[in-house]
Amino acid sequence: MTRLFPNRLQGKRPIGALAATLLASFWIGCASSPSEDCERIPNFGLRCTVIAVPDPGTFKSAGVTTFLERRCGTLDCHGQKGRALRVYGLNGLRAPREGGVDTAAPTTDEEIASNFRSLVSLEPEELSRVVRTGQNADRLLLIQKAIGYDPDSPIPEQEGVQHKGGRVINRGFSDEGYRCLVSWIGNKPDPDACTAAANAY
Amino acid sequence: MISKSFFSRLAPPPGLLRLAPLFGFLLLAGASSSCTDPVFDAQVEALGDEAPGIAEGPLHRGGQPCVLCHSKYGPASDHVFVVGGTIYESADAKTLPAAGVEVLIVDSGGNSPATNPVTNEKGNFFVRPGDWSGVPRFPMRVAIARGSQSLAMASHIGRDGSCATCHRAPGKRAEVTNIVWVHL
Repeated sequence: MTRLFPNRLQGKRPIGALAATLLASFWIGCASSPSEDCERIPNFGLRCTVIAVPDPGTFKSAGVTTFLERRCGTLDCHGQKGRALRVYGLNGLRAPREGGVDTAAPTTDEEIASNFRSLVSLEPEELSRVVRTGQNADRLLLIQKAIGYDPDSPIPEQEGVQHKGGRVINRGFSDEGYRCLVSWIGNKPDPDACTAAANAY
Repeated sequence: MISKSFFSRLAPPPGLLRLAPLFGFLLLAGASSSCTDPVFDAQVEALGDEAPGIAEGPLHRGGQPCVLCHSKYGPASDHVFVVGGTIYESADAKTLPAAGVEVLIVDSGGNSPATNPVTNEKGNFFVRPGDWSGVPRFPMRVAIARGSQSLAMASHIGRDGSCATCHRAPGKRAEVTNIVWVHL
């Protein structure tokens, strides 16, 4: 389990309203030290929201963010501010920064951290359960959406859910995109799969 | 024989009758709103009227997101496009449309239009579903070429066939300032 907002991914400046809201809403940390990550609410008691998330370090180093940026983060898909899964990246939406954005610059750590937060905030409780148990990662909306839904599929049980962007990955570890995401969620990141998936189109 | 009191029992209570106009209004409001998408309608409305002197057709509405209207549920649903857009000579705000530019598209199934579309005198091009070899499938890769000039888009088209959904006039999208009109 990992803290959701590790210092190494924290930008020097606030990421924005989303990050502020998340920080204010969630007190996150390992179950071993809940006192550090809980908030005492007057007339209520100790309020703790503890979720487990995959490793944010390998989100970058294993190329999970690169996969998301290239395959999901185009401006007509998740490279839009209003999306629940909002992906920043070099070839799509750039995060607002003081002094303007250098659009030719590679994806910044700040943007990668923001992508991570966006991803793990989709279904925090469900993701937490998957990370803790190591089971049923493909029930996550992240995976189900990426698989998409084909009503004419000869194998309906292999389908995910309706996704306006269609099928991005296929269910099963033979698919690099599936392997990239599910392996990372299972704390066994697969950089080769992520690289292959990122460059598939 | 059925008595009069039987029918009176079937009649709605007088209080309910007074609300009939309200029910009628709600029914009408529900029926009129159930078949429209206000977000979509606002996007179409924002495109404005036709430019003076340019009739509806292949030369109209340069630089606008073609597939917004030329889609299954759009106002131009009788002419559905898979991909469509306008190509300009440069990224400059006062640039001219680029005619004679060939557009090369490959979808995720490896299919392309049977014949590569070429921009007309207004820089416009479009591809209909029937022009495709097979069923078009997003995402797609795209490049443009004219003579010795060519340019490939760095990212793919995720799901929207309108170039102008992302590519707009310079300064129109501050958050993605490197995305301007499609140009050679």
